[in-house]
Amino acid sequence: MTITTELSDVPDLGDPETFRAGVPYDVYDRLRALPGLVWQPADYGTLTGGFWLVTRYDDVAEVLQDPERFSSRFGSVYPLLNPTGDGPLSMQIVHQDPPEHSRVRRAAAKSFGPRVVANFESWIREVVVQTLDDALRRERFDWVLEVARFIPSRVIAQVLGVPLDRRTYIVDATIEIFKSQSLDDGGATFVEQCMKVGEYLTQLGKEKLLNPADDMTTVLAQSLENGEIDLPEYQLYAVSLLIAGFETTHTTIAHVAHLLATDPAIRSTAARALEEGKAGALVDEFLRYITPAMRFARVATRDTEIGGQAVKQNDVLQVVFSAANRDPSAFPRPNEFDPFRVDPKPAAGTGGAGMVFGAGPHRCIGHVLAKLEIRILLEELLARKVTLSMEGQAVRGASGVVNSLTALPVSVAVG
Amino acid sequence: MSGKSKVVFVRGGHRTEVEVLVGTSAMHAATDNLVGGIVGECGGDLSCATCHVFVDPDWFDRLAPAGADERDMLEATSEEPTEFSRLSCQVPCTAETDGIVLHVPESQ
Repeated sequence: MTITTELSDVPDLGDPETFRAGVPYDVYDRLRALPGLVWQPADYGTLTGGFWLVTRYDDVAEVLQDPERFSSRFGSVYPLLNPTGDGPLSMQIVHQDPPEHSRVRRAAAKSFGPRVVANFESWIREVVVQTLDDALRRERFDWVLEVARFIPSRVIAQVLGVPLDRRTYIVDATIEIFKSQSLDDGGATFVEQCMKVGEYLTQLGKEKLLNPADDMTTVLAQSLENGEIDLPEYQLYAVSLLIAGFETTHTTIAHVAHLLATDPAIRSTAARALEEGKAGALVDEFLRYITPAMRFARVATRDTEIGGQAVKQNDVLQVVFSAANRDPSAFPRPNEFDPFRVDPKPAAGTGGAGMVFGAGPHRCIGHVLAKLEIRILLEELLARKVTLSMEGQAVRGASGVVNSLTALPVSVAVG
Repeated sequence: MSGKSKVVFVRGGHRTEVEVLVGTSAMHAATDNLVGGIVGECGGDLSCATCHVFVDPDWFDRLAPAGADERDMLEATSEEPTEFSRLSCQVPCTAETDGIVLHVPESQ
């Protein structure tokens, strides 16, 4: 017998507007404690009229690590962006399953390895220092606009080798692409926006083949040239790196500042962690606590069972990172910010510090880079003795995918 | 015949010996037994480099040589590879490798 649990008194988690008020952690606590999985009906964006909510840490890890049972082909977020399974986005790395995915991923993976990224430290620090120098000239400003957007966009532009005079264009285009992700049009606008930027990056790739540089566009253009990937894969891969490199890191930087400005306990704990040389653990805890990418989606390739729940072929499963990262069986005292926690769960393939970058073949290729950016920012804020205070309310965006902050009016005291 | 095969992981002077079914990859031998330092991010998809090991020189020649994709991904390891470097997801545990010694990089 198949039992399907639907709850009538929880908010519509398919509606991006639900998240404007905040992340519904209390709802996730309820769902996580129920046996099996909870089903929510949805009018659009799925293949079978709704989605399962996967909220336990181990279940999320299991889904992500088994692409043979839980495919990315139809979409990696809700609403599904490639609902027919064979649209133009089939060539995008996030919609590929092994073995195609593995081939495309390898084309760039080596450029994001820990030894390569470690060499980025000095120029990333320059970007952070310059961004803070510029922003802190004013006593009051919007942290999202002046700092959170600035650092990762400059970093990813440099990683991709986008010339200085095209960087504003790239940031604006990336924001537009991201917005189109939540539209109810089966991915049509998203594809259109991606292709526009993709054409620019194709042009850039041609220039890079003539003048190779130490950047990702050169690496990808060479992979295209020697047939490891084809043109749509090239374009969509480069666009994916842009989106992934910018959006979630900028969200994290916004939340870090919000927490430092509003929570004195977090402020003092963070300072102590840095002083005691626990920068890595501090970054991990900020990431777990914030969970910038809140959830992803997979589609069951056959009738199967997960988390004690029978699911049908083509059912969408939303794997909720925000819920997994507050799972008390993985993180005791989950709602407490504690960079000194001694027993992060050693889950295979997740790095052990939280479900932040995913698990399995699609685990974030840029996780070393993202953590480096956050660590350097925290170090520079501490070194300058920056104290942030709110000057009004933080404004949340409407997104079910990213823990979006769109404005953060702050004032700053230095020294 | 589904025999067993032993793998010895050495990290920072600490030895962990595990026994797995023949055919299991050394990466899974480690992750299934919570051996530290073998992350296996991609799950054996050969698209990350977090299951890097230094094969003990006495054992290295018993393994089939690394393929082009594996050699490529060895550039992305956290620790500098050596001539004895392999990605353990590409090392099957067999009767031949029974007792193989794999050194796990400290920084992984």
